[in-house]
Order: sequence, then C-alpha cells, then structure tokens
Amino acid sequence: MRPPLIKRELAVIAKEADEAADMGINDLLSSILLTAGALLITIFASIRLLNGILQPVGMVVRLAEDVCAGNLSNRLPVNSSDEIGRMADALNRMSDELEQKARLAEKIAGGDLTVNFSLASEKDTLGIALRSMVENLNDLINSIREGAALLENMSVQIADSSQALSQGASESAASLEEISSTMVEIDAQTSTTAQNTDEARKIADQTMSASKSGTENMADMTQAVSSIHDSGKQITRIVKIIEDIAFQTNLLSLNAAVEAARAGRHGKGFAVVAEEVRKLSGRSAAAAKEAAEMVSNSNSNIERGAQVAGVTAKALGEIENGSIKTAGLLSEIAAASKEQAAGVSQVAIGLSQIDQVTQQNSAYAEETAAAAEELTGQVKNLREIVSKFIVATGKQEEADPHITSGGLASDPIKWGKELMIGINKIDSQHRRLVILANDLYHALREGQASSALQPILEELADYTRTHFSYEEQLMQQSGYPDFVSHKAAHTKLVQKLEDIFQGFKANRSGIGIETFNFIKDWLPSHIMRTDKKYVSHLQSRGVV
Amino acid sequence: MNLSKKLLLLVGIPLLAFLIDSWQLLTLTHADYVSAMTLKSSTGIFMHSSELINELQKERGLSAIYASGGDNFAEVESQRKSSDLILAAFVGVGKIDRKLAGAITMDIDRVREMTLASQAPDAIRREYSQLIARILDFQASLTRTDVSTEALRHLNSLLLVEAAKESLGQLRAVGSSILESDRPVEQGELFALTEFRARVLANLDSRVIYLEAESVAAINALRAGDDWKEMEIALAEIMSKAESGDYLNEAAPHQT
Repeated sequence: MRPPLIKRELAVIAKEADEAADMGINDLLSSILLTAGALLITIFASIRLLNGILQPVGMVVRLAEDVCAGNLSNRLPVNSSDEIGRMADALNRMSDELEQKARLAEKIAGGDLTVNFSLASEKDTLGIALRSMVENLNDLINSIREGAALLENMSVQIADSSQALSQGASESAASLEEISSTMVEIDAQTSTTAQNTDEARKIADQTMSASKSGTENMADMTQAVSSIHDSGKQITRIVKIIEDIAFQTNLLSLNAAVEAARAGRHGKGFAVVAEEVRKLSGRSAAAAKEAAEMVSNSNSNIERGAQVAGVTAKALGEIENGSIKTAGLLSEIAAASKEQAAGVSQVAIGLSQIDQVTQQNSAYAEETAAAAEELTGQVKNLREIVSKFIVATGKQEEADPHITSGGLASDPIKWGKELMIGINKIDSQHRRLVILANDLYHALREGQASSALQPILEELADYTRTHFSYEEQLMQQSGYPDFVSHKAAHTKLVQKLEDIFQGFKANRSGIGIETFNFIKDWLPSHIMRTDKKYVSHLQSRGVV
Repeated sequence: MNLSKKLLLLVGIPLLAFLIDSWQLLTLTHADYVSAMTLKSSTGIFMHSSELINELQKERGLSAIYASGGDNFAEVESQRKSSDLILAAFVGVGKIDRKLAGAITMDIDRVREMTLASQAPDAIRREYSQLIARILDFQASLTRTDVSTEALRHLNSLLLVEAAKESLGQLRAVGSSILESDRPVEQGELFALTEFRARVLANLDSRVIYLEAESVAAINALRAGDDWKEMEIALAEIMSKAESGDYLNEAAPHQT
C-alpha cells in the first residue's frame, strides 16, 4: 500500500467533489429559478383567478343589492359561459322577469286588471301570486261593484224608511204627549176620587160607629124603659100601698076624730089633727089615685116606648150593618182607587218612557237617514274609485280554469264586457241573472232534486220581474220610444218563466236542459241587442 | 369573512405551503451544495492529512529503530524534515481547527523529544500511534457530512484503507520489535498482533469499500505479493514461538 493509491483515490475524490459541488450549485440555482418562476406564475395566476372571480361576483352583488333596493334597470355583462357567466345571465333574466312583473304591478296599481302575462315556470311563485292577485282583484272589484250598487239601493231605502220612521215617531210622540196629558188628568181625578172615597169611608166609619153607639144606647134605653116599666109597676104597687096607707090613715083619722070627739075639748085639737090627717089621707089617696093613673098611663107609654125602642134598635142594627157594609165597600173602593191611581201613575211613567223612546227613535231615525245619505255619498265615491279599475273578462278566465272573475269556467254563460251595458245597477242585475241561469244549468247538469231546482227557478223568476220592473221604470221615466215593444218582450219572457215555474210547481212538466237553453239563448241576446239600445237614451236623459 | 378573504385563503394557503416546500427544497439544495463544497475542501485536507500520516508512520518506524539502539539519527532527522514540510502544508490548509493543529504539533514535538531522550521504543511507537490515531479521527470527522455522493463513498473507503495501512504499520512495528528483541511474546503484544492483523483484514475486506479498479488491483497485488507472504510467515513464526522466542534464524519481518 503506497501513497500513489491514496493520491489516485484522492484525485478521484477531488474530481467527484468538484462535480458534486458543481452539481450542487447548479441544483441550487435551478431550484431558486424554478421556485421563483413557480412563485411568480402562481401569484400571477392567483391574482388573475381572484380577479376573474371577485370582479364578476362583486358586480353580481351590486346588481343583487340594486334589485333589493328596487332598482331593476341594471344588467350584468355576460362575457363567459362558465358558472359566473351563467349566474350573470340568470340574474339578468331574473331582473327582466322582475321588471316585467313590476310593470304589470304598475298597470294593476293603475287599475288595469286586464293584464295578462305568462309564467316563467310552473314554480313562478311571484307570477302565480300576481295572477292570483289580479283574479282576486277582479272578483273583488266586481263584488264591490255589485255590493256598491246594492248598497246604494239599500241606503236609499234605508234613508226613505228612516225618514218615514222619523215622521211616524214624531207623530207617535205627539199622540203620546196627548195621551200623557190625559193620563195626568185621569191620574188627578183618580187621586181625587180616592181621596173622596177615603173621606166617605171615614164618614161611613163614623156613621157605623154612631149607629153602633145608637144601637147600644137604644139597648140601654130599652133596658131603661124596661126598668122604668118595672119601676112603674113597683110605683103602682107603692101607690096601692100608699092608697092602702091613705085608706088606713083615713080610717085612722076617722077613728082619731071619733076618739077626739070622745075626748071632747081635749080631743078637739086632736080632732083637728085627725081631720087634717083625714084630709091628707084623702089627698094622698087622690094623689095616689092620680099617681096610679099616671103610672098606669106611664106604663102604657113605657110599653109603647119599649116597643118603639125595640123597633128603633132593630132599625139601628140594620143601619149599623148597612154602615159596616158601606164602610167595607168604601174601603174597597178606596183601595181600588189607590191602585187605580198607582196604575195610572205607572201608565203615565210608561207613557213618558215611551215618549222618550219615541223621541229617541225619532232622533235615531233622523240620524239613520243622515247616515244613509252619507252612505249613499260614500257608495258613490266607492263606485267612482272602483270605476277606475278595468276588470278582465274572458281572457282572465281562460288563464285559470278554476277561478274566474265572473264565475266558474264551466259556466255556459260567461259574464264579461260584452254583456255589460255601462249602467252599473243594470249590469249588476244582469250579472245576477247570469249567475242564476248558470246555477240552474249546473243544478240540471248535476241532476239535483226538484227541491234544489225550485228555489233557483223561483228566484230567477222573481229577480227577472224585479229587473224588468226597474228597466221599465227607467224607460218610462225617460220616455224611451221603444218602451212598448221592450216591455212586450219582458212580458213574454216573464210569462214564459211563469209558465215554466207554475208547470214545475204543479208537477205537470219537468225541467229539461232545453229550458236552460232557452234562457241561455234569450238572455245574452236580449242584453246585447235589446238592452244596449236604451243605454244612450237613458244616459242622455240623465236617469242613470 | 367576505368572499375575497376566503378566496385569498383558498389560494394563499397552498401558495404558502408551496413557498415553505420550496424554501425547504432550496435549503436542502443549499445544504447539499454546502456539503459538496465542504467535501471538496475536505478532500484537500484529507490529502494533506494522509501524507502527514504517511510521513509520521515512516518517522515512527525510524524513531523506534533509533530508540531501540540504532545509530542512524540522520535518517530520522531527514524524515522529521519531510514530516515537518507536510505538517506545515497540513496546518497551512487554513480550514483546520487551530487547536487541533496546535495539539498535533505539540504531540509531534513531544514524541520527538522522547526519541531524543532514548526512551523505550514501545513507548515511542505508542505515542506516534496515538498521534496518528488522532489524525485518523480527524479524517473520519471529515467524512461526517449529510451529503451522500460518490466522493464521500470514495472518501470513506479511503479512510478504511488509511486505517488498514495504520493497523498494518502497527502490526509490523510490533512484529519487528518482537523479532528484533528475539524474546518470547508478551500477552499484550500477542493481543496487539492479533488485533492489528484483524483490523487490516477487516478494513481491506470491508464490503463497503469502494475504490478505483486500479487501487483495488494494487491492494490485491499487495496482498498476493511476497512482502505480504513474508509478513504472514513472520507472524506465524512469532505465534508459534511466542513462548520461547528465537526467531532470528527463521525469518525477518519486511520493513515498510
């Protein structure tokens, strides 16, 4: 092993190291260049990419913000067919659709409800909603027109009725005032009667008390007379005793006189006394006799008086009974009079209340009349407002087979402009007739029972008469020259309907579709050919 | 976060990843370049260190002979001058650690003084061997690089050759010392002989060795040559007479 080997190997190594160093520097330089190049390319591509996305997206955002703010006039440039280009195109189409719908909405806002538009797709919610809104507005305006017409008539009727009611209420109030004053007088008289009756009852009570007292006094008197009679009898017995005593005394005086005579002079005085006693006994006997006579007479009188007292007591008893009855009756009369007075007072109060209510009714009726007049004015305003709307007809119905402004799509008679003559009330009546005719058609088609057909037929006949009457009234008022023939046509149809209806009611004839076909042929033809003739005449005469 | 920021993130994150990856690639490429440049400069240092080892090996042999009783100091002196020239070139490379250069210089001076002081030849050989081993370690440190190139592979192979050469030199030195003293072999010497021979064969037969064809042929020629055979015979003689000595009549180791 010698150094040349190592030198050789070292030379090789040095060469390889040089190559490695050269390769390293080359690798380093190429890596730096490649990295820098890739970095520049990446940054450039990223900037282009970001600009390519952010700029269009920014424009899309601005457009969307404009749309949000209601500005639909801006559009995006479509420069590519990628997603952003497609998004810009879709946004432009969306703006177009929205702008178109906005214009339609402006038309609708201007009152044109005849607008027609196609949907962008089956899921065009806004378009469907707009279409539905237009249809509903058509229905609404038509309904408002009908309702306004009916409301106008009704308000006029209400005004008339209110005035009549007010007038009647005023008259009633006047009558009630008279009745009230009469009732006040009756009340006063009834009160007076009650007072008088009360006084009479008091007098009757006093009379009853007096008669009762009299009866009692009469009983006392009868008792007293009986006692007197008894006393008379005792007096008679006493008088007899006195007579017996006077007789004995006379006998004794005689005996005394005898004795006195016997006593002589000594008995002279005694004889005088005896004489005087005899005289006294004689006078006593005479007095006793007179007393007996008087007592006898008195007893007779007393007996007669007792009899009279008995009769009088009986009469007094009857008087007392009569007084009691009279007092009872007078009490009842007094109570009745009081009740009558109270009733009269209540009647007066009730009349006063009725009067107040009547006056209030009168005031209300006046207010109602005023309100009805105001309502009439408002209805006119409403009709003027509604008249700004142009209502769609057949086209709109074709747009949606289910919901139309005039009725169902399957209605055989379509209500539309061609059937409108320009007089709102008559148009409303015509539309009502069309609806009734269509109802009849559907009822016939569905085979409904007679019970269902009858009210339709009845209403159709009645409403036809009402309508014809109104038309004839207008034609007559305006002096329509063709009034006679027009009325004849009315009469003919009314008669026809009447025959149908009567035949139906009598079950003599059924109703077939030919009946409806007759109406279907007659009604539009009459409206379009006959009724439209009088429009200019009525308008020129100012009756409508 | 608005769309522009999201897109910036969408673009910026891969770009940042690309930048990081590119930076790493550049860093690696730069590291490879630096390694290649380091390897290039290491090749010169390796060359000088190999020459220095070669000169010190020669000086070790001559100094050991002189220390064992030789009288041709002029030959030693001449070798020392050659070694100094190489040492100066080695130290002057500039990229060598100053401390290492200083330590090697001081060690050389110290071992030369040992020679002048006529110390034991074994001690002188051992000091030279340690000095050479330090330079070999230094050489090995030159191959510790991240770059994997043909040059590095060659350098590593050359390191193996250097190690084999040093082991062979030590083997010869120990063998020569035994033969010259004609004495029984001490156990330590026996182990050293065995170890050095094993190192020579292991390094030369290493499967990772990668040399130019001419170098391989030269090594093979060396191993097949008379000198190698004489060395093998001398070693066999030493081994067979290790306990008794008395080798001088049989064979003499070849001086390198």
